[in-house]
Amino acid sequence: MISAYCSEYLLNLEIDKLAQLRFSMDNLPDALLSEIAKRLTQTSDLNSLSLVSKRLYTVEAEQRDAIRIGCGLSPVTSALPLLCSRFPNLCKLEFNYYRWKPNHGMQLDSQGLHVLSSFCPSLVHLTLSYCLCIDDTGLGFVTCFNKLMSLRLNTVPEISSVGLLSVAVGCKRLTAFNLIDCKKVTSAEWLEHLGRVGSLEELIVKYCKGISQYDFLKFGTGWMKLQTFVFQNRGFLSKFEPCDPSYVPHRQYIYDFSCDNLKDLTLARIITVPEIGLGCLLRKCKALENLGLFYVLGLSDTEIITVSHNCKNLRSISLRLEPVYNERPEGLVFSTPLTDDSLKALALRCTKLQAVELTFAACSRYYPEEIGFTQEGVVTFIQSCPIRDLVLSGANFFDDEGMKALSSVRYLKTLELMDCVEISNTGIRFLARAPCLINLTLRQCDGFTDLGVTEVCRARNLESLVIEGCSQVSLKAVEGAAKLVHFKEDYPGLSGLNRFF
Amino acid sequence: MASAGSGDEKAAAAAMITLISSDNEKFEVTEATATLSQTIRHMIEDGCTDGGVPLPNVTSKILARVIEYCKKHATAAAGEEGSSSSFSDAAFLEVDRAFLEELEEFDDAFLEVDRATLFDLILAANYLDIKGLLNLTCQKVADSVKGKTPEQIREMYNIVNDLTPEEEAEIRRETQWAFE
Repeated sequence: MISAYCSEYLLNLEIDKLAQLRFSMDNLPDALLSEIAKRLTQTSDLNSLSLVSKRLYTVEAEQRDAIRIGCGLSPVTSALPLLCSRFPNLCKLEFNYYRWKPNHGMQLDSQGLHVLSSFCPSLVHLTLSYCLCIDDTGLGFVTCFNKLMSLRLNTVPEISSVGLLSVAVGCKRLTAFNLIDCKKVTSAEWLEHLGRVGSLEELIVKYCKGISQYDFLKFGTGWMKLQTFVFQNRGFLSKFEPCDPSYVPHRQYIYDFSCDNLKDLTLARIITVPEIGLGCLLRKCKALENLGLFYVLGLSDTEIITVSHNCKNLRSISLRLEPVYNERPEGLVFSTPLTDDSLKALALRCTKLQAVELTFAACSRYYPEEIGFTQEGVVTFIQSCPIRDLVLSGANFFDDEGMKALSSVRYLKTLELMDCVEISNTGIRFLARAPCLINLTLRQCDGFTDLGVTEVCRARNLESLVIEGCSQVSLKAVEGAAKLVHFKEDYPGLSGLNRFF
Repeated sequence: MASAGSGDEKAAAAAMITLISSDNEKFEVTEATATLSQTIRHMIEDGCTDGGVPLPNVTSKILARVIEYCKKHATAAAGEEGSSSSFSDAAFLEVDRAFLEELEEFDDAFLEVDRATLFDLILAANYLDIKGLLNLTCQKVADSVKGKTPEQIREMYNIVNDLTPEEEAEIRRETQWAFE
């Protein structure tokens, strides 16, 4: 307490000092300092914090549980022990050597993983990306991390099925496994083993030429627990007939597995018909919430109608389609697969659908003649579900009339229009009335101008506005038109957005 | 809790709690408001709130603000519970959004305080164990640090730099390999 006989001057000085002290972050206990540090996610911010004072250095180091290591750390093997002692609570590590060049110094190699396993035994999540020096021996050391729950391998060209088998046998707690662009991996014995262990909840396999969709049939009982499954191929499919080497007509035993917990499913660039291939998942899933079907050959309305019957909890659907020859009652039709019948079924039964993407690739204004969906079909669909998030891409059939209907969609919060050439200023202006719209992305649309877009921005008070490759919309017109504006003159293209592969 | 008394009045009165700040000011609040604080909730469960709850670590100025926060968030929580059963899914979404938006606006306005008050609120939220308030205030400090240099952070929060230039250089060297 400040004594009563202090002169007023001294009193004020004292109060000033007290206020200064209360201002100081030093007055917070360590636990609260780490509460604050915990909320910083950018590495650059965490690095700044560690340079403020000794105390913050310690608090930050103890609190940091995840780091990503890139080309800058060299020699990596001798730096790892130091690193692990500075951050004693690391449980998530990523090594990423994207764009590595020899002059960066040695990459992490298998021996480095061995060193890591002794200094960081409590590692839970490990990601290895673009690691050229990790081979099957390295994967063997991965099994030394007793607590490892997720392993993500992206472009690790030296590893093969042998290494993966040791992971499948040794990592008993694995719940998430990703394998992306690993070219040497061929046989699927490891997959069979992982399936038998049955602990995986997430399985993502992308761009691995040596693994076919039929290999996943060997995953067997592993499907039971799986919640997320992604299988993506790259490049065009040359054959139009599925060929499952294990397929025996009318004997479905290998397809006889259940996947009752599958919530997220993405299939890309596979050929499947009702009896053969991973299309069978579409008939089995009951708990599905998010579905992505990208350029799946052999897809027809029947599958989507089945999904609509089975999956009452479907929240998002993403359909990327390109024109193919489709068998229809009226004969062979060249168009994108799926018709309004699919949309009708989804609208009728999937009442929780909130996010929808419809992408029509390789379609131009006059080609193919028919696109499968009609504007009317899409509008009715969008109006019947509580859609918050919508992407329409290459929807040549979608014009100002459609935009008018969109503007009255009650919950629409996020809208992306890409390559929708028929929409003019008249159409885009309707968005000024969309009651909940806060995020707007416009890509590769040349039909509307500054005038229409600025009118929407003025009326809507947007959180974010993204303009990419719209020739009639200028940076000058949209600058400051939303809280966050991203503007690019160039066409991103579907492949630039990683939506075409 | 079994209230032995008769009539609503008594039940309502029983649900009021008196909080006493460090400078001896008394605040009457409903139980629903007070129990947003886990610390007070436990005291109520242990039956030691008769005659008021002394909070020697919280001044009246800060306690008033904390109560303001709790009142708002207690009503919001009650509102949500009440509405979930009586609205259809779609209508519920609407109500839900309105609630959340209003609450967000309240929170934003609530955080418009000087740094000394903000730290006092953090300490109070921690002492009273009010998760939402702790989250809100810590986030505010974290946000204020984003994108700042170490020197700017020191200035903003009156922190003395006790790192030697050598130590600083060492830490910088250690962190340059880490990336986003």
